[in-house]
Amino acid sequence: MIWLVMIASGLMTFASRFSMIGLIGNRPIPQRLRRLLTYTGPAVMASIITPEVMLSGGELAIMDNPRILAFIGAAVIAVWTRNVLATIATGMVLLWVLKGGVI
Amino acid sequence: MTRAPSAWDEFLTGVKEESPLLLGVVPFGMIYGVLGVEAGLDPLVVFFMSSIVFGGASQVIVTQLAAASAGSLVIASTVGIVNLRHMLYSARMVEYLSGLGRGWKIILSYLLTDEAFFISLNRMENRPAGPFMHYHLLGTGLTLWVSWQFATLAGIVIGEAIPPSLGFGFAIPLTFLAITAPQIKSWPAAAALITSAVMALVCYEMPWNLWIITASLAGMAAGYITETARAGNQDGDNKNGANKIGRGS
Repeated sequence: MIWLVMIASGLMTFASRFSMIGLIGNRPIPQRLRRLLTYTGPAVMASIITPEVMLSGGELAIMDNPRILAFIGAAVIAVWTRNVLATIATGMVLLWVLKGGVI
Repeated sequence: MTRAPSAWDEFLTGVKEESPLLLGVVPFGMIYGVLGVEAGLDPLVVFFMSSIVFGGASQVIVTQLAAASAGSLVIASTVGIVNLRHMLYSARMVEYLSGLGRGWKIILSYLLTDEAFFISLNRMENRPAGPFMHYHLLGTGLTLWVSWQFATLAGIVIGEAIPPSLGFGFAIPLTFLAITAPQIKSWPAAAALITSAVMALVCYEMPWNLWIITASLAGMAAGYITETARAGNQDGDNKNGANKIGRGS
């Protein structure tokens, strides 16, 4: 089953990349659609990130949740350096420190 | 003056210009490998997804949703939404690739990831057109492809050795954060981000992991509406910009 899902996902990914180059060709995308598509990046990412950071076992966890502070620290580094590695390293180290140790 | 660069020149320039990005791409690929293994997926699935899907964000989402036992339809449609942005890349590239045969178009489309697109678009737009400029995209794309496969393999090997107690799952939101932060350059983009974040929390209880799609669409709509409202405020002589939101959308 997972293989089918994976192949379907691969086809979807290819289809979106091939759409204009191979199928529709050099015709302009309608202005409104273009504008809507511009925001897929931030919208999709935010929808995936937020529950990962803010929820704990399906419940909203603000207090006693080291991930929020670690994430904010990493966000500062992300905006400042725009460096993927530095962002991940900052977030992970902060998380471990705030949890009071690695294990 | 100078003659147009050869196919090999273009290819090598693409490889060279893509290389600095590997600093971010290789760790991302490794993290994906680690996460895939820790999510309980067959290492073969984790490895082959990197060539079958070949898209970091999509692969992490498939991994995450499969681990959460989401349905196939939900996984596929979520990946579909995540990939919509590639249509824009495809649209920007089409004028530079329109003279090529079908085989070239298929290969270059397959290689059209975020990182290859941005680097090669810079070459297409800012340097003189040449008969072999598509080799530049082949160069950036193949550089990424090869690195991505090796990074995935390394991640799978490392993942087998890392105990889950390290909380490595937190690397997913951090990776996405690093990808997204440079994109938040305008108020509409910020509106899309915030709306989607709030909606994701509100809709989290929805069945079949539908919260991702719902929140994403709401965020896209918020970005669109904000942009329309701001354009209305700037262009119109009517000071009440709020009226124009309805008209534009």
